[in-house]
Amino acid sequence: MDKFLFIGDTNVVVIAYMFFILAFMLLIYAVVILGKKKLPKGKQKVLTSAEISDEAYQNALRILDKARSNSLKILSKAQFKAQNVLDSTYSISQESRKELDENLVEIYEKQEKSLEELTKELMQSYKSAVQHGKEENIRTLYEATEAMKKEALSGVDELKTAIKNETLNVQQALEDKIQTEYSKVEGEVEAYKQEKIRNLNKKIFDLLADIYSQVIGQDLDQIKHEKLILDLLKEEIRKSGIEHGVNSGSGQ
Amino acid sequence: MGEEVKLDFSKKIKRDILNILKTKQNANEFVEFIHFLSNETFSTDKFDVFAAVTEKYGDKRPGWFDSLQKNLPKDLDIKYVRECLNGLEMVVDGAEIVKIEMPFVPSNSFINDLYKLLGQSKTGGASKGKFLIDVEVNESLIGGAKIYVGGKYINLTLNQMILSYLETNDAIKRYL
Repeated sequence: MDKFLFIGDTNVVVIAYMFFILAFMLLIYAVVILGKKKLPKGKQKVLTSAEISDEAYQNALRILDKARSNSLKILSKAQFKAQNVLDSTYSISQESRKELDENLVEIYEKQEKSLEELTKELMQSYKSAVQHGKEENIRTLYEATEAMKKEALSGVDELKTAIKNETLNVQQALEDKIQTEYSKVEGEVEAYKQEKIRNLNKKIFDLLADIYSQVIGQDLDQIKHEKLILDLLKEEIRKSGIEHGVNSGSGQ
Repeated sequence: MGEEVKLDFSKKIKRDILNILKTKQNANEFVEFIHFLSNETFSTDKFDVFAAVTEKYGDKRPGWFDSLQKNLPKDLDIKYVRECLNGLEMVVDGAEIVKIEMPFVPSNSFINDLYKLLGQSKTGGASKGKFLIDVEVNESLIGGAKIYVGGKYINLTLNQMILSYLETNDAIKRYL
């Protein structure tokens, strides 16, 4: 409120000073120009320069006095007006404040509305951007996932092929080894079987031989027994000769 | 007695002594007799061999002595006989041993036949008649005999004979 008053007072003072300056310039003009015009060539009374200057000076003093009085009047009027303004300041202030408050409320509401709209727009933009970014990210992620999936599947295919080949090789090697081991075991089993059969046959022969020997031995007297030994020896000598070791190592 | 007679006797008795003795048991008896004779005839020129044998063995004179007596010339001085017998001991010591296991004590007839049979064989020492038979009674043998000659073994047992028969005829496949 004081600011308004100061501005109002300043304007009045400026106007007063402008009137004062204007009056001073008019005074100068009157001294210089009008003084010349009052001196007609040849016909007018010739005045001395001191008189002229004095007259001009007196005129200027009058103009100046008049301007001063005018400016004083203006100043007093301005002062009066200012006083009036000052007196009405309070009431103005109340109204202004109210108006200002209303304006402020209005501005605030407008501002709030604007801000709200702006916020909405921003939110919308942000949402849109986020949505866009999200979609972009999803698309990128999807593409990356697809690429990774493709790459992984490619790797898996290679791995599958490698494992398959390796498995086939190992399987073949295993089959070969199993076949070899099987043949080996089969041979061992067959050898074992033959050995067992031989042992069994030998036991059977031994048993039979014992039985026959017991039976035959009971019927042998010494003469027959001696004859049997000699006959057996003759037979052995006849078959292959003692020098070749007939039945060597086959005894019991 | 001339030197030729002595030489002939010496050669003949050396050649025949193992055939006369035939068994290791007889050979041991013979060597023991030689030692006895050497002791009895030590530092004497006259000695009655037959009387000494009768004194030592009584009526049971060894069989080999009869064979020896037949080949022994009369009127031999005891010194020569002693030298000759010492030579025979060396022959006996160098003889190859053919061992036979059988379940009973064999008869002389069996020993003679066996010695003859082994002598006819082509076995190294036996073929040259330079062997003795060592009889060992093994009652666990049911029948037959086992002979060890020249590092070789001949199985003549009944068991082996029957086993050979069964194997030869493949008895299990044919009969069992």
